[in-house]
Amino acid sequence: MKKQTNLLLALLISVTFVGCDDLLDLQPQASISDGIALSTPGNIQTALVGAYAQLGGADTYGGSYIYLSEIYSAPSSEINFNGTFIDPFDINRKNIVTTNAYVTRVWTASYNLINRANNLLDPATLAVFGADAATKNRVEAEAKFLRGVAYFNLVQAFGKAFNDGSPTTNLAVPLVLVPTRVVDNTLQLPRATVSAIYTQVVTDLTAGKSLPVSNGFYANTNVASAFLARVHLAMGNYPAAAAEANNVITSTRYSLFSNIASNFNRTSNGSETIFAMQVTPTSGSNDMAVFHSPLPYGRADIRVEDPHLTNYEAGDARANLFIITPRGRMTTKYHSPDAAVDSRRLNITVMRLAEMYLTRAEANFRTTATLGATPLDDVNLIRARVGLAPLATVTLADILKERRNELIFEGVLRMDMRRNQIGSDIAGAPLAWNADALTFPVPDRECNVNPNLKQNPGYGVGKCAP
Amino acid sequence: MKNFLRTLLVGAFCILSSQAMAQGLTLSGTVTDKSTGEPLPAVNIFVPSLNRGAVTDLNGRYAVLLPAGSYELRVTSVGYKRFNTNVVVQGGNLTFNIQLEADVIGLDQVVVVGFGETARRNVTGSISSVSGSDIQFNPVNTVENAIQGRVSGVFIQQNNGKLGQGIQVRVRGSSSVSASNQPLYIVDGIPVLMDDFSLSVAASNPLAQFNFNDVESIQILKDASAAAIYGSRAANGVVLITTKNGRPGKTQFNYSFQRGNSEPTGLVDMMNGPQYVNFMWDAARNTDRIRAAAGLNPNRTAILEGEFDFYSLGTDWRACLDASKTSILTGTAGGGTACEADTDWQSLAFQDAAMFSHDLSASGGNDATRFYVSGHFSDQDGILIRDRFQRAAVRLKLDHKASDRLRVGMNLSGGRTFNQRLASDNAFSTPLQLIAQMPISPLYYPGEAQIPANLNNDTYYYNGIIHKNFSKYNVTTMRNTGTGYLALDLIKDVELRSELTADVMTGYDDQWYGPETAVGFASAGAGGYASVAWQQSVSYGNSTYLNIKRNIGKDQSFNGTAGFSYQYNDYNYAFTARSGFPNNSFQRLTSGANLLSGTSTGSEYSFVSYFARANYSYKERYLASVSGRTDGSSRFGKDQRYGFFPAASVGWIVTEEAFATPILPIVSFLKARLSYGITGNAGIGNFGHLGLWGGTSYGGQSGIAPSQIPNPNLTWETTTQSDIGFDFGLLNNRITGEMDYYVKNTEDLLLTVQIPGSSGFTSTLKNVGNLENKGFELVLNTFNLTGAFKWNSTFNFSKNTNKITNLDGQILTGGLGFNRALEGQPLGVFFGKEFAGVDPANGNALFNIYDTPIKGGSITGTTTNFNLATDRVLGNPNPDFIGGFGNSFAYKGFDLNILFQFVQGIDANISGHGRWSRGNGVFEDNSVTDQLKSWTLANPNTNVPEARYLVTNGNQFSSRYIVDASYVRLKNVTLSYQVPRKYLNNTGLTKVRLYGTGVNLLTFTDYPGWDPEMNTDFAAGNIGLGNDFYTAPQAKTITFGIDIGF
Repeated sequence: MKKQTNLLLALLISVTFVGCDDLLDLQPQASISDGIALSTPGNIQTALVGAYAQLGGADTYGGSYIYLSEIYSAPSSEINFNGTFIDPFDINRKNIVTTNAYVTRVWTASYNLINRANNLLDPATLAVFGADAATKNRVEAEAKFLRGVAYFNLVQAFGKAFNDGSPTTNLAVPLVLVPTRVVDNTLQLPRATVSAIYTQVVTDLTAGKSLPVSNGFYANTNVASAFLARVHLAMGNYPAAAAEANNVITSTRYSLFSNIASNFNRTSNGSETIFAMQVTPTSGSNDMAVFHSPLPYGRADIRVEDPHLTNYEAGDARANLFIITPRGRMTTKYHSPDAAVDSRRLNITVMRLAEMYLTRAEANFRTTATLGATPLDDVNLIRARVGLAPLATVTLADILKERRNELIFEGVLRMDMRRNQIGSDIAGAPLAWNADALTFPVPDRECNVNPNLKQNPGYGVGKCAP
Repeated sequence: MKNFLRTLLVGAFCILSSQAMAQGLTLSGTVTDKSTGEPLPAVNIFVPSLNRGAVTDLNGRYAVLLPAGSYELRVTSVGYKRFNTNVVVQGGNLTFNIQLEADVIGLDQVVVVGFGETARRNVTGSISSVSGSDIQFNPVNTVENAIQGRVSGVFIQQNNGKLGQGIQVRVRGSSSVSASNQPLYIVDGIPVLMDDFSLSVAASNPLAQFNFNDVESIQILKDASAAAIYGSRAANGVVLITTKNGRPGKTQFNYSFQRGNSEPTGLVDMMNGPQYVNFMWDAARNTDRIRAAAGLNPNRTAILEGEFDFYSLGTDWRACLDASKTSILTGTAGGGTACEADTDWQSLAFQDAAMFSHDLSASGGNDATRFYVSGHFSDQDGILIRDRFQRAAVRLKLDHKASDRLRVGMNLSGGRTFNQRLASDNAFSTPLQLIAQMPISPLYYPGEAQIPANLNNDTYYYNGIIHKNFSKYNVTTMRNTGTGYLALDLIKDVELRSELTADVMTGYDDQWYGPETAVGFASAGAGGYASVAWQQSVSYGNSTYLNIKRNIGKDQSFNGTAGFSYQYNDYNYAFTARSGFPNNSFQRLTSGANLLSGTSTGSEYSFVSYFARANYSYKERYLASVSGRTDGSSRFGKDQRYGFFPAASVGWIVTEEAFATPILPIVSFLKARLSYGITGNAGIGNFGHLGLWGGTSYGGQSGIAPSQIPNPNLTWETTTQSDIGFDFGLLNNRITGEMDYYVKNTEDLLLTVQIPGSSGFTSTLKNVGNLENKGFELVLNTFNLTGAFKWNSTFNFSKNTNKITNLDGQILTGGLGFNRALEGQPLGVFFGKEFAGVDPANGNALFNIYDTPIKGGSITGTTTNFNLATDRVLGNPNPDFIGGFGNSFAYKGFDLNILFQFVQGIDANISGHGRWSRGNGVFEDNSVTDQLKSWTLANPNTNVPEARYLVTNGNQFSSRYIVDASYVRLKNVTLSYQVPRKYLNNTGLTKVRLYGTGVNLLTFTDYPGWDPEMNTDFAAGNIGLGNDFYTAPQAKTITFGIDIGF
């Protein structure tokens, strides 16, 4: 009898352990799966917010897009990256290795944003809105706007300037317009040409113009126009640049602050703000403050040297936008004068009205047009605000000087220097405006995993295609 | 859960079916040591035919109740040869005294294997053992430290000298590139949690809660046949830790106390004030000379002087500028004397480090019930300022024989550690980053009282001393581990055993930063910053299995194990941060004005496993073992989640053969072993196979974004290992040893594969690639002198060669960005440009151009353009060979143990004191004195390029910063004196032992940093090896202790 009992026990135990497979069916708690992420209109809207979050990241408009433009182009006599972070130090010295992490992250972060946008633009995603065409159209236009902005920054970083040689053969970056859902060889795309990327940028931003006039702190039709104005200027399409800038100015939604300093270190958009990255105490990144603000909020690495001040006329209010710190002179565009305010938790202005006046002035001047106003009036408007006497006549050099002084540290210096064919210097020697060293290398990691990428000249070949 | 209930019910039923004990005659006697005549406690006396036994008490006495008859008696004790005999009990009680012979070769030592134990004689796999007595009261932080250098095939490297922090343990090399390389730790049958609760980028050590003074033995299962019973998680080896069991007899107490002090094993020779000022000033002049020649503003010396003026806080730094130099800013000549402020910042990083520990244990019981209880408390200061580690631990083990057939027991342990942690090596506030400060910066504001409130906050880098005084980073970790077991003899020779296990780890991370600190000042709203994090990882499970032991006829014996196990883990995390505290007396979140963060998350995983093993021996000389395990893991998709891991091994004890008799005087023992098997690795994060979207936010609104690209095909990484080994004893076992050669091939690597960033992702987890570890291990034990003066030596040597054989073209980087996983190379090689030295003509740093990339070929030229130099493999952070050499001497009551540990042929990347403090003056960081040898016209033949302030001249990562980090270390010296028993009569004491121990007393190395045993904590990983970034040295510790038994 006992033997049978034992056998029964053994049997019982083995039965107990059959069918344990369901013990292995567990689901994540802080993520959702691909299948449901874009399955409802509500989810898609949060995915759109997610795309903006990437635009505001430290490697996009939360930092890199802006400060790398400045430290990578300015002459060493004016802007000196004096910190011990070697990657931006090398960028400032125009002495970039192909493994430079900051360069790499501009690439990967931009495509991360593009993939977020492409997920929204997938026909299957947009179909979820069904009959709600208004929401569908808005989401589509915003996603295209975001994608256009990302490609604009990529083409500038990794491609030659539009006015440098032949944009239809110069290589920029791969053009990806569909979301990534599986890993396979189709991800190994070659670099599209500079002109192909610009075409996509214009197409996407133009789609953004269909956005409503008002859309909170998100992109609206004017934001799209403002970016188009910048893009057309980079391409040398002056009439289009003037027209888009004029669109923004004449929308009358924006007005210049009486004090230029009001543009910076804000916690919300102001009257002159066209587009700003929103940073709250608990969300968003502000790497601008990290590099421009002194301890304790930042590292105060981007030091403004004395010769820079000679650019300003006497009485120019913009010459006061500096502070002397233990680590040298810093711009106050990303450093709150109130020591109790954590500058890293302030918004970053990406696009403001003054740029539109200066773009219109330059584009009109170059085409001898007067769309909206004369170049002289536009320039004098900007001058008057910073306490400078009006000019009687205006030259292109006047406009460019005004633009440089107005927008320095705001992310357009590199684009302006390249399109105006202004060089820089390297290791104490002059560097031509179109020198190889003034375009980022294709990141080493990309060449390692994509045999179809060619490296930019001047960086060797490495693992890139010959 | 349902299943547990059923199991419990089964268990309950089993208890009811127990039966009463039989009556009979008493067999009793005393067991003594044959050579010393001392009585031996805790000897097992076993009567196999009745499955009944007894254990000797403290006086070596035993008693077994037997019915009349003839019995085989098996007598076993750790460290003694087994003794088998037959006794006949008839007509009355029988006294039978037994003498046991010491077992120098350890053949009959019990070796714990997965789900069972066996005699070392019968082992056919490769297992390293450490006895608990070898590591007891070792004044080191954790159990891994304690076994360093004591076992072959195991490379143990602590990240740094901070207490309670990460440690790397590699059994026979790294077998994975992206998945875990950590061995599986089993404590008393429980796979213990190895969660890293650290909130900083630096890992903490989850085994730090474990009181290793409880250890009876540690077995490291190295080959596939030994480890395969743990199938899925055994590819990296298995560390089986067995704690002490209760010993029946009079309750024996043991109390031990020790105290001691630690200091760093080494320092780096940093420049003093005058050296620094003149070096930097010259560097700035050099830059200006070059700028002027290029037509640029030569203002760098002015910039430097301006900084010096600022950071010296008004103290006269020009006093120490050479008299031959004229200040650019003031036009005055240097003083040529001492600097007014000259701070030795390095010395401020260290503190006087004291430690003490108390251990109390009791063990006892009777034939039916045995117990072991222990308590431990230790308090250890780290060598770095504010570093501290306290541990309190208790353990209770109970084993009860409910009947002849049924045994129940439990094993409970609780531990609490309190760690005053430090910031990671990458933080300005970590103590050793103080070396980068300018020596001319005073510690306090000049003219102010030297109190914390007046600490200099205008230093070049954030002043870590402020951090020390105005912040806290306290981590309390609680660990409760429990097992309840029930063992039932189902039928003769068949035991059913079921264990319920739970392991609960709870961490409380309490941080506060006053407004004086950078973190506290910079947080939103004035008044500092504080955060708390609470984490809990709960693992519970059940293992139920049958053990079968059967002798077939006279010559054959068989034993087998088959069963099931389930393990489930649930992890939860909560974090809250506030800022704005009224003053520094308020450090709890309740007083903070602004809520900055409040978050929680969690995850879970489970494993379901079925396993079986069979061992067979014929004539005790032909041995064979087969095992298999099927594992299912929640970490893989539905179609890929099960893996099968088989292994087989054979052994042949040659010296048991008749033909071996003639060689016995020389070769007293020889066993050949051969094993082959497959083990697996699922040491990846949870849900790696799913496509996922995670939460994010923008402008205060919530969003989602893709976070992971799916891979439904993700499955087990498998390692196939072959091992051939010999165990031998020579010259009547005066020399014994083991020799092993193995080949481990890992395939379907769980690899974090880089994918084109243009996809929007940078990596995905994929089964791709192969790697190989091959190695040789040798262990020798010699008994040089065996008389009254005893001298034993042990030597172990391990050579492992790691090679990545296939990565599918992937190039993976790690560490500080310069370690790589490269096909054809060992994991983690340093990769970059080769430094060609200095151009004697102008002091420029030169780099080599080769005709072949990576390796081989020849140099075709040099270049100053870093990008044009050829990328090469620059060094290997894996050692060529490692080992240990120990000697122990005993005379009367004195014992002297000396252990040397060596690690040879290992390369390191000096980064903090390399690229920054050996960057020939490019930055304001203080430099190492060897930079004074930088190029000048008068000193053109040097390896240090011309010093140029703010100009990159060779401080890029290159072979310039790859150095040899081999070392030989006097790891442990213990001198003890045990008071002879005769002096203890009538004192009530059974043992008094006094001892002194030294750890890391001497280190022989050419390494130019603090300590060659390092791997910077924030960048340590499978690929990230051998990087020194302000990495704290190990502690050199001397303690004195007393150990009393009563």
